[in-house]
Amino acid sequence: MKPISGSPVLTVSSSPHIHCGRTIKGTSLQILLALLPAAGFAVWHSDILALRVLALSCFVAVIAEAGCLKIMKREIESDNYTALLCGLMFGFLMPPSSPWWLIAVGSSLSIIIGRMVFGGLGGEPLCAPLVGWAICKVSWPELMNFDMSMLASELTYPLSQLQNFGPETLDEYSLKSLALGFQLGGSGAAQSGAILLGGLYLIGRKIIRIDIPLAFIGGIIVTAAIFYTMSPVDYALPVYHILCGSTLFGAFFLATDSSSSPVGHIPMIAYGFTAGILVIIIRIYGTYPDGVPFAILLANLMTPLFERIRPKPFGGITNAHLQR
Amino acid sequence: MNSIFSLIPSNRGPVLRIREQELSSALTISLEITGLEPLVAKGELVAKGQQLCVDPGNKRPSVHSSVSGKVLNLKKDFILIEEEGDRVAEPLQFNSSDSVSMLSDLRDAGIDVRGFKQGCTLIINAVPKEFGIDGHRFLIEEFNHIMSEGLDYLKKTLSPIASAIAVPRGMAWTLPGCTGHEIDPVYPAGLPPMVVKSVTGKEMPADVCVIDAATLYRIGRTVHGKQPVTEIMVKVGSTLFQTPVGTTVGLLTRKAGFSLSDGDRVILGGPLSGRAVYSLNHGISANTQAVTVIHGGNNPVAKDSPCVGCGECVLKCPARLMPNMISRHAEFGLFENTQNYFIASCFECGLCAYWCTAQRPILQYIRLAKKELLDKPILEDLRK
Repeated sequence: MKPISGSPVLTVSSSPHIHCGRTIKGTSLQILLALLPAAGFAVWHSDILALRVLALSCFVAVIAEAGCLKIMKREIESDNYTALLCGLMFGFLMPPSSPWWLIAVGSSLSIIIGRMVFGGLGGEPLCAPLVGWAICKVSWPELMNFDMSMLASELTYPLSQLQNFGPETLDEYSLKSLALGFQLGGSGAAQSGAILLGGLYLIGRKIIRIDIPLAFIGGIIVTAAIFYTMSPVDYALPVYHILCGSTLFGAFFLATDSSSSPVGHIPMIAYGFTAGILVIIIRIYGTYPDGVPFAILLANLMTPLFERIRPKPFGGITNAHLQR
Repeated sequence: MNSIFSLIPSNRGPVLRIREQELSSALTISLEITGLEPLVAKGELVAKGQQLCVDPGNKRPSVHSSVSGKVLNLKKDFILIEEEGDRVAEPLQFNSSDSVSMLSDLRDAGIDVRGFKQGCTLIINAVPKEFGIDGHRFLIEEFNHIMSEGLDYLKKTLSPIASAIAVPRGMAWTLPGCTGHEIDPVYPAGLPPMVVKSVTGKEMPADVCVIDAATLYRIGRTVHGKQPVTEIMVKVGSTLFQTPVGTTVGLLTRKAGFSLSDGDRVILGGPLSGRAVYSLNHGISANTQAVTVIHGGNNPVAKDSPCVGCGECVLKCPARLMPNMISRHAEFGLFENTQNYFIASCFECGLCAYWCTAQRPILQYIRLAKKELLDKPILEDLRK
């Protein structure tokens, strides 16, 4: 371009001319950072087994996304780390002892069925890692059962103990050991304390809004407390429901998944609260010990309904001022 | 709070007069006349305050020469005038008594009177539109009598049922005959629809007319001096200039101490709602209040990326809209659908695109959809 009469070539744009600087890449890097402590705990508790699961899951997810984009003749966008994040979250939900093919199938299906068939990033109607998880859970139930697949481990799975033997079995778990991750469960998802730390970091950095996690945990506490007050002998204390299984991982990382969760304060609170209630209902009446993934998937399906809760637009429901 | 959203007026510094800064060479001014009909020809001598262009449709204000000089060049969009001589145009007449011709007198004197309505509630907006656009502080504090003269003329013209002045909270600015309203100095509270809401309590009522303080000063100055306003106050960066209308942004930015290089942006107005110019020879118009310089690399602010659904725009939108859905529909040319998301309520504050994680040009999509829904579609083929 030739400069006009010696003056610099100005850039022209239409307003707004500035941006807050937050990007998709930056956001996913922050979430990855928030997941790191839990990943570290997972590797420690599983004697390095989890490292294999997480690494394979991340690798397969990135490759699957790049392959799909190639087939769709679109630009490869692995450098925004969203596929890596999706793979890591899927790995967090899997037992550390999972065979490699299960991880590869689940992780690639998370990306393909969970995201790419809906048009890629931003199109997911359901939280993508949960789609892969649900396919594996339904197709290979014995491999996805933490008690059966982790026989070698000294740890036990509190939620299946609760389901099979009643709430008094939970007395053998101290809250501190649960928070430190001395329990069976998804490789990273069971590291409640580290997950909580990462979640609070994300809220502090304003990467996620507090509405969904708060309403989700609130829904769990309220529902569990109702059951507990009805019969303390039959139902567990709410605090165990928070610390056992993947509750906190769901609250801070899965339910807040941007494209599958609703927008707006009231829809977000309604969505989180519904998911929280569903968790307890599935844990108490369902066949699955940990209700979190299915509860979030069901709440995801209700997202379009929640999004219909909208305030009136500025100036009322009329387009008359378009002409003015 | 993010400082770019602060509307608290800054402390008054010295006012730099461009005329005293540029004594050595003759001033060349460039007046934007897009869509207007010129009344002068190239090479003609013009007087200070002489009418140069009128709107054939009698809607937009006419443009006057702010210097006595010679027309250097006459293009479709610009008139270039080089200062020369000391001629002053005949004074304007403000003898009309009925309101329609009073308004057309104002329009002929270069004041934009579109949106002025009879019997409305008159609101004088003294809240800065954006961070740093606070040159009118000087006018309110020093030329209060001129502004009241303008207000008196407007009251005679429009016979408003009430008049109010909106000031940023904590500022003791008053205007005789106006009730004062304090407004929280946070963007976008200074935009007309938000000011109307805080003053009247109603959203987008039909019978309200908002005039910003700088325009009121121009009305007062015009009526007082019987001459079109030729010198205006412009804030460039943090420097306040008193300068003739039509002064090029190149001169102003240079005097304000900016050194511009390729890829920078020069914006008439503020960074969130202003208009970028393509050349440093672009002159400021009579209603320009600020010139903003943004130094930038080659990366565009907006990207062609899909919406990730984070919902920041929905939470930040002061009009309580869903900019995510409007932009998704507008992106694929489904402009009619955007009406189901109440696109008309958008008053273009720019916060959606500012906060967008995916860096989508949300407001640009909204403007495109609005344009397409109005009388002159520009992308007829994309609709099919």
